[in-house]
Amino acid sequence: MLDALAHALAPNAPIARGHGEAAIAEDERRLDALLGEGRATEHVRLWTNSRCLVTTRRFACMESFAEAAAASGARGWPVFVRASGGTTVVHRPGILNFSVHDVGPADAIDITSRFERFTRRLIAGFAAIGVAAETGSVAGSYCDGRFNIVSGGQKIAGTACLVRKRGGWLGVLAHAAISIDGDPHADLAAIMEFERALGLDIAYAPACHTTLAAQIRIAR
Amino acid sequence: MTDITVPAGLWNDGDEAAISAWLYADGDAVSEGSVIAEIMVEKSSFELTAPASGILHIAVAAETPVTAGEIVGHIG
Repeated sequence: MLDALAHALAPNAPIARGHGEAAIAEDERRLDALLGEGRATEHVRLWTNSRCLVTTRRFACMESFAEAAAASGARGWPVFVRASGGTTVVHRPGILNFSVHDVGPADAIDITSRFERFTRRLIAGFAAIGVAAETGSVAGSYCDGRFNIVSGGQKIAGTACLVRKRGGWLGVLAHAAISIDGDPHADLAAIMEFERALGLDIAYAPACHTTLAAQIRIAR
Repeated sequence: MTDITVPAGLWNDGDEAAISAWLYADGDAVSEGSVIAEIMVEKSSFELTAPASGILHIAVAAETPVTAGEIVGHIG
């Protein structure tokens, strides 16, 4: 399933098997490298990661972050920080990450249309393997947003974006974390325990989440 | 003093933007070009870089909505 979707999204891209912080940092490293080339360019990256939580700089600035992250690590969910938007997400085997790096002249790049193009690409990838999907917010889902990828009314992938400027060039990193298989209940439990330790009053519902494996079973 | 200004033209008028985090504290020394804050528009993060080297003076707190062209701090 993972290979079929990966091929639909980016036929010529290998799937990099990453591990922890280095895998996450590679997205920013790639964006900086492309910005340094001083030309319009696009790069696609398919990758998986070891089990971890990935949160944002906003949460990392919270007073109880160090303690919450240490406790999460002790439960088997190390916490790392990314520069793109949103809240905390899960990485693990069974989640496919799809990143698109897009660099163009700073005065000619429209962020919204770039992000919409990214989500259309995701939806087309799902359609190619027989799964209907659309964008939309799902109340009760973690890291919610109107550019979630939704299938059967449930969130199957989250998306986020980082915009970075260097000189006259603007780089847009759009990435998605796609649930291929596994247990959303366990994912949500890990996120909620961490975010509640930060002092956040949150309640995410497992019923708001699905996986590609579940959607394929439904379609058959 | 050099103004720190929210850049214009990166997101649609009407989209709600806010400083989600200052990455340095008020009074910290910062270098020109370093990322000093992030502005969030939905799930898109826009990096705000220091326009000069010097001491950071924060005028608008994190978690506060901002608009394009708004001055959110100074470096002096």
